[in-house]
Amino acid sequence: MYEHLHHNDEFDIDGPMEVHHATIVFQRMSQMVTDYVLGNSGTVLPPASWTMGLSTTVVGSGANMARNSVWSATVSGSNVNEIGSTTPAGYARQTIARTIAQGGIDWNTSTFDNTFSTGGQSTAADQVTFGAFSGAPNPNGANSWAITEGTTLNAGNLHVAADTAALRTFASGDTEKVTATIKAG
Amino acid sequence: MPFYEITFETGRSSVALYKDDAEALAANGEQDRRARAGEPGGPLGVPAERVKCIRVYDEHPNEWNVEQTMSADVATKEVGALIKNLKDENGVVLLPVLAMQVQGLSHPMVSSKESSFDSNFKMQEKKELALAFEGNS
Repeated sequence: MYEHLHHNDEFDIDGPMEVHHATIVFQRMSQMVTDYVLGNSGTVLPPASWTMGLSTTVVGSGANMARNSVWSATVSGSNVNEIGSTTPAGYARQTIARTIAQGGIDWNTSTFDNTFSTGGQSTAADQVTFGAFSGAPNPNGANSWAITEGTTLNAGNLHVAADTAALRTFASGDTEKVTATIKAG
Repeated sequence: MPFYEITFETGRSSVALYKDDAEALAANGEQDRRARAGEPGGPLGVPAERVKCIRVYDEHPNEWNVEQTMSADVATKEVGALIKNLKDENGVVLLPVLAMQVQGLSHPMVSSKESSFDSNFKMQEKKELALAFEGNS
């Protein structure tokens, strides 16, 4: 079911309000499909849990985020940065468990769309909440969200990302909600 | 800086990083005030939520057992319990299911909660903040 994972247009990630925006699947996720799912690799392993972060960087079309991007490093001319990495002001990564429909924040039961051209298997994560922010984080302004791993800001592997519906800037008392929907077809 | 797990009255939750308890209370007091005033909770425009509970951790609670290790003695007991729960009437276990559940022993989040206000994480919190902001009940 993952044979076309590397095609952005066939691996849709929906942002808030189910609006479709630019998306990208990063190398690490593709490698987990080829090596771990298909080959049962003992070295390319998924993390114990997923985390979600907010990025100042737009997904773009190759110039902003690259397939082999990682957080905060210039790779293939692009550099993906996380909000709040200098001053968090209440920002932290949110955890999504590697379970299906259990008690905490995790993935819902997946569904299948048999449409030949656009179908595939979809799952939505439970909605995550960022904040409340205590003021403006630095840097401020989320242009995208990303499924990543670990909790150290601006560090680690990226797996998938999608643009937010609009630039989100945060101030004291704000929270932000993100619902990740991932479709593999 | 400490991490804070914020549980809202809706049962939703968040993890946040503040420099101290005062900053945590100020930020969440403002979210709580907005909820009581019927105001939006953030730039997305969704309603603000009352704050039910704030738990404090020395590190992000996702960092529970990041090495994904367990002492052999504990692992023997845990895996034994999993086998006992999984075996059918013929004493047979499905190995892929057992393998998946063994992996689950290292997950930082709990798989079930008695109350929606319980913590999402296995890590034990350092303390719980007294919610001193105005209007909290």
